[in-house]
Amino acid sequence: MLWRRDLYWRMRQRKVDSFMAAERFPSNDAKPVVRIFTTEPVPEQAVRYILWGLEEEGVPAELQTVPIGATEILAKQAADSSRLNVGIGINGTALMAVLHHRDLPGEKPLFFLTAEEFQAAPLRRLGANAARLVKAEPLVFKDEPLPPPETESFSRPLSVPIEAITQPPEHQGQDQLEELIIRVVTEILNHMEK
Amino acid sequence: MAYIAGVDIGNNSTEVAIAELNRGSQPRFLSSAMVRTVGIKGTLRNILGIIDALDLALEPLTITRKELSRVLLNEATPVIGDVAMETITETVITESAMIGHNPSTPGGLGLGLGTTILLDELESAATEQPWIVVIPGTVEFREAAERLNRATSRELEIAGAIVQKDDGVLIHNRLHRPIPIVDEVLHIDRVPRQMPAAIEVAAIGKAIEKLSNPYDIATLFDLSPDETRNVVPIARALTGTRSAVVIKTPRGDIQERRIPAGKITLIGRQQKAEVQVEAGAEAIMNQLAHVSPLSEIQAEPGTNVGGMFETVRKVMADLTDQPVSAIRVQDIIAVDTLVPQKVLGSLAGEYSLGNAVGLAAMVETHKLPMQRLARKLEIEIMVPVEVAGVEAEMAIHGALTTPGTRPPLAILDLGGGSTDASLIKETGAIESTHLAGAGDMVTLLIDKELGLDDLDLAENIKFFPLAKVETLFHLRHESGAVEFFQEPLDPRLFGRVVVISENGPKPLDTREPLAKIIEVRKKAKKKVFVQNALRALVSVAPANSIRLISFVALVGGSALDFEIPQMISDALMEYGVVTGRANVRGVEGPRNAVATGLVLAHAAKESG
Repeated sequence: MLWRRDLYWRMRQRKVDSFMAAERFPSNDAKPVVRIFTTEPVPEQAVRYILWGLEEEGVPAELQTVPIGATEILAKQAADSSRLNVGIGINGTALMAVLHHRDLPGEKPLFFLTAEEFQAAPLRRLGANAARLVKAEPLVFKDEPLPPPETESFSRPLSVPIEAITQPPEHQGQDQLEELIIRVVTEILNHMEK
Repeated sequence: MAYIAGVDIGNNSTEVAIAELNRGSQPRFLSSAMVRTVGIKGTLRNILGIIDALDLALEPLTITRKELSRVLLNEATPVIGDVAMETITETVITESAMIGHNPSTPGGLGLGLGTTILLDELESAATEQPWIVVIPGTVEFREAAERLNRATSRELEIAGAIVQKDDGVLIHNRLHRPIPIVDEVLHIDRVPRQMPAAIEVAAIGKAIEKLSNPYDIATLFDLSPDETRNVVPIARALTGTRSAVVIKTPRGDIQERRIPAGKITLIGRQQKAEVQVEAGAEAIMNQLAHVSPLSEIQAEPGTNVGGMFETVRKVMADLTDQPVSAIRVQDIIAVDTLVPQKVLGSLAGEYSLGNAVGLAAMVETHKLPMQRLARKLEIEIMVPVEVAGVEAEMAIHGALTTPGTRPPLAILDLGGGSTDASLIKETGAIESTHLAGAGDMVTLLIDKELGLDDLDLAENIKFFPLAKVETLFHLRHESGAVEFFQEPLDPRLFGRVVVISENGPKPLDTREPLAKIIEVRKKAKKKVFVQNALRALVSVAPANSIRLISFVALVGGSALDFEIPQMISDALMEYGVVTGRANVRGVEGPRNAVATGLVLAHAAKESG
């Protein structure tokens, strides 16, 4: 019982490992999986990174090859055909990968990896985010590896109101300046509209 | 006929009420306004804010400033409060001996017991005993899995693994024999080798059971009663996590240490007492009640609280042109709290909950240089300016315009730095008090208990309700209500707890669940505001009995909080007091009480 989930995964893994064969999975597949559509020739290594990202998060995925198509459109189609509403499109020639969700408009994918980002870490993150999208868990971003709360500096004395009231006077000036600029810009825009 | 303006300069906001005075009749209020106070209350910089507020109030009336016949200022009692926190316990590991954390996806399941060994040393390891394998980040997960499988096929017993990268599930899925795996262990190089270790991973949605129980740890490692006593801090620090490792090292030493936090000296009018901060909030507050009425409180120099006392006194001294030595701290409030602390010597950035005491202090002097401010304002706006009444009295006169109230009425002003209360008796006599601890202390407690280290965010959590972003298009408010959006939400909000601030949802950078954050917020408000509301009312009530007050009205900014009025009303229910937010003049809500009171007092004086 305990290992059923893992067995399921291993079975799936075997399938996934042999994905290169071709379109093994019909598009009306009713299984709850994240669907990945990729153009041929399949960028095997990139696909693997994405699958690992999904696997570590414990969400199953299925791969399907298509002859040609714009990456966003592939991603959108994958998402639309996924029972989990999440899909990924890959173009191995142009080195692009896109994460999409069924509810998002086609031209607005969630994440878009460019050729420079078509590498191990971003691809694995794309897979992990596809899984997290399914699990409704916070997504991972390059600049913030989900840090736990840091409280090292916690015994330092705090002085909330003092800090608040000893703001240097220049600060006030800056705020006013900013406000003035905003007002002027709005004025100009209003004029232009007329 | 004459137009007059009442102006209330508060710590945070400057409020104005404009009224038309006709001889022999009640003043007719025409408009009001509120702006942020510019500069510290009582300083000349306030004038900028006053003029702004006056203009704002006069604008709809088509009256110019010069047409005002008089501007009335309040005689403010300067009260400054500040907050600090002393930690009194911390967990110290002198030799690395435990890992307990919540990687989002550990591998496998169950409990494993063995001896720690590096993956590289596994080839030559003996087969007699079970091993816990340490896998550094340099090894790819496929290679790690393969080497573990090879070892198993050599009849080596692998009981578990400790992994540096987030590879737990990936490794586990490729093993022939399942084992528990703890991953995302940052300082894997600090894991001691060739030491007995236990590893536990709980099922999804569950917390570990064995390694959070001192007797189970004793069973696994065959500990003596004395040694078992020493593992209590480990067990406590591991409670509630989904995965954990405990390693027994020969000289391993884990202690829950008490940190001397200094003492506070309470000097009352009749007696004097000293109390150690580490004795906790209850002991401090009990002593305080025992010694009161207080004349001064001193804190030991060199401690956080000592430093905070000095800052408060210095600010007050600067503000009122008095020597620091003449300024005394007159009230404190202490609150017990639990704060997450980084475990010293930890391997994966573990936290344990340490005890801490939050303290707020308050100083009060007699008069601010309001006359100086009035003269300067008079020159600026060319209208006679008068310092017309004491703040506490004016506020209560203003609050009495709330429909449905009559004396004896008490008002509670829950501010940022202090909690103020006044009471007007049937005779018209007025009592008032200022107590330490208010909004800023709640902010500090929220910040510390959630380990945010971001006071602005803590302030937001205090002010605004929370929500959880459930899909790209909807979020669920803490009330349970669901809100849908036309446009997709920022992916950075997805799956997170957010505060619904004025500028839309703002993500919290914490893994704490929504319910925990709500609990922390509510507890902080209760500990400070409810405790202080009761303390303040007792001190102004006739014969110190809250039952003898008929009406309590909440005024000021905190009265607009979405849950504080309810909390105070619940606490006062048992005293049979009518409690609610003031509604000044039936239109202003809890705002504008002092400005209104100034106008009313002036009108009464003119006609009488």
